[in-house]
Amino acid sequence: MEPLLNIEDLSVDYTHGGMEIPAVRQVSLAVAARESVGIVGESGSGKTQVFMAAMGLLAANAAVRGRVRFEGGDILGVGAESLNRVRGSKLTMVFQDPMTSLTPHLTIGTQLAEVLVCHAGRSWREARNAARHMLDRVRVPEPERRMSQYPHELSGGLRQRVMIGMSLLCEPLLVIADEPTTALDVTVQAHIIDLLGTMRRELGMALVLISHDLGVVAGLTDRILVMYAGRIVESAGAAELFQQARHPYTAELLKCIPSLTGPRQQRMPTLLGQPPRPGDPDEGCAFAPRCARAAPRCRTVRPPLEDAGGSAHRVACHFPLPS
Amino acid sequence: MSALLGDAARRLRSNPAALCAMFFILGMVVLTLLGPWLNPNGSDSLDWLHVASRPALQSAHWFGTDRLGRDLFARTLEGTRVSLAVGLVASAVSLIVGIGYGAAAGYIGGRTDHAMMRIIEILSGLPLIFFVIFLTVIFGRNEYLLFLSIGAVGWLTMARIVRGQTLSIRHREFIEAAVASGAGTARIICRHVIPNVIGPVVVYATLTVPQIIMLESFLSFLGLGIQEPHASLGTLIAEGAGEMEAAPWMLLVPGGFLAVLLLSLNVFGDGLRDALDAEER
Amino acid sequence: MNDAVAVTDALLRVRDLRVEFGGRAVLREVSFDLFAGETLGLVGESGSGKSTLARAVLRLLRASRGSVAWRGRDLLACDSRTLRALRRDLQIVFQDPLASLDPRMTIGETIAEPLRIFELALDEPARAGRVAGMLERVGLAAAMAGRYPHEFSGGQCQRVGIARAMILSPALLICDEPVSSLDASIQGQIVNLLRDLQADNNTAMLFISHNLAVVRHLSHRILVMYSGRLVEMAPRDALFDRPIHPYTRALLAAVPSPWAPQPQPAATAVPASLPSATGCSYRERCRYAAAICAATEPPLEEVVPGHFAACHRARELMT
Repeated sequence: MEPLLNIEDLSVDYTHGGMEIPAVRQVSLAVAARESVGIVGESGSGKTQVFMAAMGLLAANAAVRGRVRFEGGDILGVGAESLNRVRGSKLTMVFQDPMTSLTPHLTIGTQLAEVLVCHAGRSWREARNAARHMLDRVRVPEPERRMSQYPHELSGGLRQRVMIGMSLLCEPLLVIADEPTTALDVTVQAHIIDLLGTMRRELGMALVLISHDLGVVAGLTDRILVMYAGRIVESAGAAELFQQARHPYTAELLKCIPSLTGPRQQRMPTLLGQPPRPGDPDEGCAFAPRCARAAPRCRTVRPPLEDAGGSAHRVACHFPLPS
Repeated sequence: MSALLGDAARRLRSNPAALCAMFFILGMVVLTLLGPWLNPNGSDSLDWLHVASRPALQSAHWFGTDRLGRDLFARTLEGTRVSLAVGLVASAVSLIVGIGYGAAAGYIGGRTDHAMMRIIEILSGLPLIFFVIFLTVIFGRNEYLLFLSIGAVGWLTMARIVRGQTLSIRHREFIEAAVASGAGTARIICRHVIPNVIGPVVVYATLTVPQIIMLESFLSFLGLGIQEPHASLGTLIAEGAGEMEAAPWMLLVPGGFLAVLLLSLNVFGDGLRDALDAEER
Repeated sequence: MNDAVAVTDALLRVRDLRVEFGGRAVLREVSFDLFAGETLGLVGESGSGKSTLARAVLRLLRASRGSVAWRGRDLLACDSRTLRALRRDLQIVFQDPLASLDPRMTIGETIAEPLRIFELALDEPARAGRVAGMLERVGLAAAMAGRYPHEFSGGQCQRVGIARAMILSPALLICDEPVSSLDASIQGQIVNLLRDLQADNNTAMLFISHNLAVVRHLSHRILVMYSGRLVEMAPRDALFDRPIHPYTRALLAAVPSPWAPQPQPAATAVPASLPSATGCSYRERCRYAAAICAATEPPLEEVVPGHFAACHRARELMT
């Protein structure tokens, strides 16, 4: 059976000042119906670009190659009109900054209802009722009052609840949440994670959670993909990844998470060096310059993403850590 | 700052359109300076044998003559020189005064800013024509007065623009970082504020040169600026417009010079902005 | 690092510091001491007044009341000439590494600026030598001095910001969320660098962060802020092992970890309305709130020796 979202060999290149700068290189991934997938990587790893490309939301100077299928139909390069049949209704996105993704001069109620009027062809009255119901569902207190408020009157956490509610209005098959808690405080973050988990269980949708924070992804997803320098370097079930990371980058990244409990180390664990900058030569394994296990082969031959045993554990490394 | 200008120059050199415009402007400047030596005809000598004659390369008057038999090539070169001088000098004056005034008002802020901006509002409330007539009455008519009056108006807008730019960077962290490092107000304005607002301001300045050339021709037309027997592009165009049907070259020659000049200045201004703003991207 | 700080007179003594913006108090009666060589961690969520506190202490913005005594001299009362002279010893590292560097200056010029201001006797080659030495100390190549900030990554820009702050070996360094905008793999590098530089110069440090794990890693004592007030102040281990204030507990419980079960939202998500004028500002989100919490605002009291909390029910919650 074909997965809900199927991305094959997706590459994104930006043209900037006459230079081709690759952001995503030959990424293939699939999300099944009702599945929850985490995408982890540092800034510049291309984790957001993959899904912005799939949603047709990239800037004009981006060239996208590859194939993206949603529910069996191509959605890459099909033009805004046919893309809008799925985008915003069956396939929705929640962004990092809930302030800038809401229109400042319209009330919350109008913005929510508009989604239903546009995508589901409901009347305004029906749509407003459904919107109020949704605010209640995403646990926004006093939904009636919030309907007539403007985005700036709400706190960051509330705005993100509204955004999540908006993305769920048309009962989507897949929600892509891009760093949904990064702009929020840690106590509020816990609530939003909780909300996303609950809504997924209740509505049975698939979820893609993009984050730099392994802790956030851990609690919400079944499967995690780790990206580095525009490529997927490891893919595994969430529990397996945290217990037995096979790619040295994943392992180092996990070590870098400082702990609230246990003994304090004298120095904070770090990853040496800098992540490669876009436009750096693309030869061999991108992580090799920072890798303690790197051999000469790593600098010349790029390791493919291959099965590494275990349940669907894949890793792109010549010398993966032993399982 | 010097390294920065070096970078900017390098980027400017790699922009063919801006480079081309720059050579046009430089070429015009050289031409207007060398003009009297290239052309046997003086700009105010009358040739009674060739009154209002057509442009022709084999005759003595390449671009033709006007109704009084004056050589149009010589007059256009003089006009270009005067217009360019007025435009550049007045822009430079307004740039220097405007940057200092605007950056100080914007950065210091508070009551100082308030008072400084009220002064600007009062000055810009004065109608330009009355202002020029007033000066003419007091000092008599001369060309320096034109520089002065245009400059006096030009810096007001420049100061407003600089102040706006300054306000937009005043609360940026690097300014705060400079304050925290112990830098004084003068140092912050000179080393942090002005270099960061100069890009858009210089572009605006290159775009004011054409405006000022227009303003000069307007004042000259009213009899308040350049007077016969001297010429500026504005007076030549006004003159040519009157003879458009009988002697179109009288309009087309100075008009063509003005068009090429304005286009070059605009293209150069754009190139300059791109070169100076590269760090922002 | 030496964990036991010798108790001497405080370098920095902040008393009843209050900051108002447009009549609304964003910082209310904050008092604390900071000793030489000590690292004081300051945690709280956005809008709690952490950055305001940093800026008010350095007089980058105006406090409406209170005093900031630096070696016995009130920074808020002294004239601007004296203040500028004192800034030599008071430096800050900002949250956004790129925004805190002048885009029109090479990083070498940026790092040299404090020298140009305070060490006027230094000639050009000597200054360039100091800058090169500092660049290498923060882990950048001396040859990079001629480059501009936009040519560097966030972590490298933060190293430049740290070099500018440390080149005069200040006695106090305030770090306002210095690693929040950096990737996890880079955060540790910057934190370790700050620690090393602090050890070299015996610098006192006020380290502001919303990342509790980072604060735990390098602070001797920790301040917790909520809604413009200090709600808890304790030595590091006491705070992490035996937190008193319900807000601190909620904060600690909310940090997600890949190895622990999903954190449970500890407090009520959203206050129903704006914090009211009277009583404890946390009570709307507090599961322990009682009648007294609505009536009066709890003062910051020493519950256990060295461990302060602003909660009416602190003693009950201890047991």
